[in-house]
Amino acid sequence: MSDQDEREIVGRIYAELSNEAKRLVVDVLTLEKESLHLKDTAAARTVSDQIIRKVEGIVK
Amino acid sequence: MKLLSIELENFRPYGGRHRLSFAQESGHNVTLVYGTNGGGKTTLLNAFTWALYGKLSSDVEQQERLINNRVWQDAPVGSQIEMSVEAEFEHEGRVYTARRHLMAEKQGPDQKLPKPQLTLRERDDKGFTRELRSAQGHIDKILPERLSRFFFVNGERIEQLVRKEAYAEIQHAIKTLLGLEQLERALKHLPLAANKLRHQLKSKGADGEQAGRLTGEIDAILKETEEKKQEKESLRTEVQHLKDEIDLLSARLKTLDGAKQLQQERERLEQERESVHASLRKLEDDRARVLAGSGYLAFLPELPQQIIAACDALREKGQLPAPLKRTFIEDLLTEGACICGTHLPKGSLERAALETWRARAGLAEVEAAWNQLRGNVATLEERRSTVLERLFDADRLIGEASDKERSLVEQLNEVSIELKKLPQEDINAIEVNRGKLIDRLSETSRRLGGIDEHLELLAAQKKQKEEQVDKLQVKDENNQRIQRRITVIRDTENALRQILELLSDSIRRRLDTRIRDLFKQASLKNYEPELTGDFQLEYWERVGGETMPAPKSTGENMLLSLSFVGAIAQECRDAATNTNPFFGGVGGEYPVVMDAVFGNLDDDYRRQIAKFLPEMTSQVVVLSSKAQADGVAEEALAQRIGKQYIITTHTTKSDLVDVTEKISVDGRDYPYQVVGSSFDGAEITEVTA
Repeated sequence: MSDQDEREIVGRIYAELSNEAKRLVVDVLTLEKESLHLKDTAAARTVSDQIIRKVEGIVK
Repeated sequence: MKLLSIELENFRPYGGRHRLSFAQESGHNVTLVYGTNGGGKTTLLNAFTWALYGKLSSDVEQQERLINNRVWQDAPVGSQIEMSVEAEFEHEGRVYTARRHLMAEKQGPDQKLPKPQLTLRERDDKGFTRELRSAQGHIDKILPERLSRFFFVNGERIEQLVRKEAYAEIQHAIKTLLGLEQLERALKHLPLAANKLRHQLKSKGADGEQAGRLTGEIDAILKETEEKKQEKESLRTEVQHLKDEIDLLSARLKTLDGAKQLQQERERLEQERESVHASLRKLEDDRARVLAGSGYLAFLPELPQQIIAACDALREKGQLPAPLKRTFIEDLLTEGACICGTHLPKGSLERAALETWRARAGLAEVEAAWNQLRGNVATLEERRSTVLERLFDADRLIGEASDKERSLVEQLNEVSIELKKLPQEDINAIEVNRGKLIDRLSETSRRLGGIDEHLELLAAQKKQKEEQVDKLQVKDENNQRIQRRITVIRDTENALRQILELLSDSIRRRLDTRIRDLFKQASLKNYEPELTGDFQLEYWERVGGETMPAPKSTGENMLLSLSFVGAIAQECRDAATNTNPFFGGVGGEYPVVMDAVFGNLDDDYRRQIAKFLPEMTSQVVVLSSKAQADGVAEEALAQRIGKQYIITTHTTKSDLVDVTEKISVDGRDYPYQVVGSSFDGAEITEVTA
């Protein structure tokens, strides 16, 4: 599979998502990137709470 | 990242300040640092990782004694002593200076040190300098610690990347490279968030008690799944470790007189057994497919004949179902009235039409139905015979393969017994130990299989319970909103899972291709390397038409490991021009700093590695003893060397004999070891023209 194919498949998976899920994908990846320094237990608690805040903001 | 310089102040054996700047030109990209064994090379390698990440490798002794011993001893009690390492590097057009330092007050002979502080300064292309907040975060973005171990390398340990046990390290590196860590972590955190929302459903009174019970059960499943995954990872590592140990013992047996032939015979038998076992599995799979598709036919031996006999009887009685029965029409004609109420007097058109129907009714249809049924029943019998024939054939072949495998296992046992009978104690001990390891491997693999099954069960239970929660009566708007949020989280999780699988595998394949290209340039043997689907580095050789594991050697292991490092460096370089905006990841040129890379290899491999290193990446720092680099390696590197340094080791010990006190580099002598010195420690001198 070429890089181009790979990008197309990733793009397709993303495109098939609802607008709400698309927004959550971006938000969650940003949250995780900012929390990479946290240890597993702390991250599990903090990030899952933040995901809830994000999804509450998306699905009102 | 291009290394510009490093400055050490009172760091470990280096008292005072010592600065090295590094070769950067593309044609002369190698900095060669000579140092005797135990003389400060490994410390210099560790200076980079300590400055950038605050870490020393596990083989560094007395890690708490960071400050140079002589400086500490000479300082009066109560005085302040400063220690630091400053690494200057360039990345994406900016120059960074990472400085980790500490100031300690001497209170006695023991070094009680405060936490070192890290500062990171950035100078942009216009020459403006500023100190960056979150210094560690910036460094981790430029070169994540998890990836740094492939660029700041202890040559004696890099070879271990070829061990089966190294798969986790390789897998982690690949994921870091592509920025997939955040994806992995998201997949842990999204289900937790979804279940926290399900708890809100309970509190809002949506089928209250049942929702509460189910969400509690899902929480427990998530917790158990995480525990089982960790247990699985640790068992997987143990399996690979045991395989490595068995490989080592097998290789050892091949070097011992008396055992060599038996071990070779065992390897031949093991390969044959693997091949027979694979055929056996295939035959069993084929048989299972036949049974699943047409197995029911085997259980119908009498039925076709019974069907034909029953139908014959019905046919004779004219009772086979047909669209229109003759007796039915005759009854209507006798009664003189149709079922629709029309009178059927003789000579009427209606009666004539019905008489025509009587002539046609039944016969042709019955015959057609009979022929169709007879044909189907006949095929049934034929299909049954074919299926039985295939099953009998499969049974026979499976039986033969099983016998063959059993015989091979017996022969393998005999080899083991023969080995144990050999008079040499070391052979016996190795064989007994090998047998124990195989038993442990078998038991650990069994447990691993059990965990896999358990994880599948947990996943199915979780899905079932989530569906149950979803089906709960959601009456009010608030609960409906919560369920929509859960659905969005679940869709996000599914999409990220698919993307993670896709990207992990595609980058593995890309690296595999790069490794093959690099190894082909470097290897002295006609071996084929592979980064396997299990993230293991292997190499194979072709014997006749077959591909089999190639005999492992330190030289080839080293070259394969270096090919992997080179492949990672290439992937980073290409990622800089082809970034993935979605996940980020790591991109850019990276240097390789390598200690003891020539090890105790023979001349051919030292030459080959010396030729290969400058090609691996844009900048290389080689730390080596003079003895290991001497001759072929120096010759091969000569054209690419841009800078050279000597680490001079001082020892207060004076009764040493046969010590290399001076080495000659580029026609000039430099002190290498100073025996009977006034201090123990090291100094760095640049080789000048």
